[in-house]
Amino acid sequence: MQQITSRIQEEARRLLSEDLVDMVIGYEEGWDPSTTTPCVVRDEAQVSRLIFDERCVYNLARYLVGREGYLTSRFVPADKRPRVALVARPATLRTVSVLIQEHQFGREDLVILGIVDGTASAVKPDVEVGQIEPDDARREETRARVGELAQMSASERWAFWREEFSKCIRCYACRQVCPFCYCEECIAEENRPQWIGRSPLPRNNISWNAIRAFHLVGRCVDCGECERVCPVDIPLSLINVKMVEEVAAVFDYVAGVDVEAAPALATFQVDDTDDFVR
Amino acid sequence: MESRTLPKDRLDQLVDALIADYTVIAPKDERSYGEIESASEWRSDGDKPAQSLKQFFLPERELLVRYTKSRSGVELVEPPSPRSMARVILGARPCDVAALPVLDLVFQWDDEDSLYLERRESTAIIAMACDEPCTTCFCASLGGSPAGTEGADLLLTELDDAYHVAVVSERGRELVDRYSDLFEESSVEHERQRVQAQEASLAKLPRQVDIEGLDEVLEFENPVWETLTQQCLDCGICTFLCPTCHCFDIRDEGTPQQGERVRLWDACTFPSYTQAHAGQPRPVHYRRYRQRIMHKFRYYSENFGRTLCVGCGRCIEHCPVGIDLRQVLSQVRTG
Repeated sequence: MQQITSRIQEEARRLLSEDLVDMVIGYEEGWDPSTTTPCVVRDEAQVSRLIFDERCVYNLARYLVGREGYLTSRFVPADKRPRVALVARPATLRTVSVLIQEHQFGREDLVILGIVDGTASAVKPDVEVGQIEPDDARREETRARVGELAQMSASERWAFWREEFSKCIRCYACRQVCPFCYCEECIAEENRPQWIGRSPLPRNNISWNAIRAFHLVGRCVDCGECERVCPVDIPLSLINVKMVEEVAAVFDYVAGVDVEAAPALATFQVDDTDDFVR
Repeated sequence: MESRTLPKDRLDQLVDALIADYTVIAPKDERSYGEIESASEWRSDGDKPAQSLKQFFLPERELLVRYTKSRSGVELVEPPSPRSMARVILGARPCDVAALPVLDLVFQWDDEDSLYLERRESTAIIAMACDEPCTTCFCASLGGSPAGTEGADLLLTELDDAYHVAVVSERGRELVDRYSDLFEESSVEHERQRVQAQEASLAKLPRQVDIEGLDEVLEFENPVWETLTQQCLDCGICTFLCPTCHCFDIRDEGTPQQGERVRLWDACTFPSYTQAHAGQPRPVHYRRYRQRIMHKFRYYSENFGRTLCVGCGRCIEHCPVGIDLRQVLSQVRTG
């Protein structure tokens, strides 16, 4: 891990000193010794702030996109946007692949200092700064829980999710942390018409969480951030991973492994057995 | 301060007696306080719940009025007064309890907020001193303490074989009188143990932050705001979990013929907050975050003479990206 930190600092120093980028988005120590926090380094003299270890879990691709994203901000003209270098964990590499596929920015708009774990990703780092073990344990556990849910009867499953969603306080941390929730105006905020009731009532919470889940179908790369940040511990990965499995089974499509591929839900075949797509 | 002791083996009896007489709210799980129906449902150890006590006085969704429109006019039906529901909050953390007098100031400021105030009036609070502060706690910086009594009616402190019971208010005295057969007179030894326990937990408090004179050095125009928390995601966790954040939105739900007017928690961190016909006065992140800090540590002080923060540390513990309010406060000071 120490080696990864050195490599990140070395590359950040080079990129900034040679004026190849304007900023490096990475991780630094938090104020509390148990935490780290995302940081933006614009100055060569600040490069020593950058670190990497097992506490650095955030999916930093979040900062590239959306209304105030560094590569897409509506408040900064396109020619004034910064040239960004991004420290990218394996899930962030997959995320960047999908964001490029969705035309949020081009591959050339970003220098990637990547940490890899052998998981397939379309986008390769410009510089590989390290290798870590794949988070197989977490992903296996999620898959196992998805399997358990699949064994339930529909009414048991419905009861399970109704209970989970009843806890939702509509803080929207799941949306805000998600790099794929880059809509300028979220459907949850639209009020003419109001698609989703704003009150944290069970029926509205189900609408909100179900609609967000549908919007991630064929896009989610299972970085696990939404579940990690949920302050009331709703197991959001169970929905997203279920959708990943469905899309793989039905469309033979996995998000993040092919930049040229048309996204599963943004394409159709004329001989599709369902005629509503024609 | 007047005090009693409650032998440990009588705690459950007290809880059962309270449950028989009141709606009893206590820490239920890691997530929140909630109504308990038996003593075993009270999670009396462990860290403070993610959610504060706020929801029991300012619910995340509160019905203000039901309306029905007919040919004869509009019929309005107000919800029943919360006053009729006598409640006891048990095992509340001193920081959560200290937040209530802070909220009282704003809810009886230019207008008496009857729903909030009636809930306050009808709720007795039995706080429990913290023995293991979290690494994110900074109550002592804000004038509180792991054994703070502000806002409480009784404060329990766990001793070797009993709980020390500080009688903080008249309502607290009524409670110990009502269940007088359970309490005993406090001994010198119990008093000694209490002091020792409270000093021990104070000593365990982590790094605190200096807020002395902060209201005077916080400047709206300080350029530091622009880069201070650029990693913030603009979610509502810090505001919703905060025991003192109290901003709300009022909405009508239903149809023009029939529906409900409700108030809902809102958060200054949301880009939609204060969005109005004229647009958004705080379109970018740093302006929203600046508002949050200025409100807590300057505007509230100017209006009410105290800060809108009790140092519970939830905003630090639950921030999705590790933003630490203690660091923010030291950075705005040094500029």
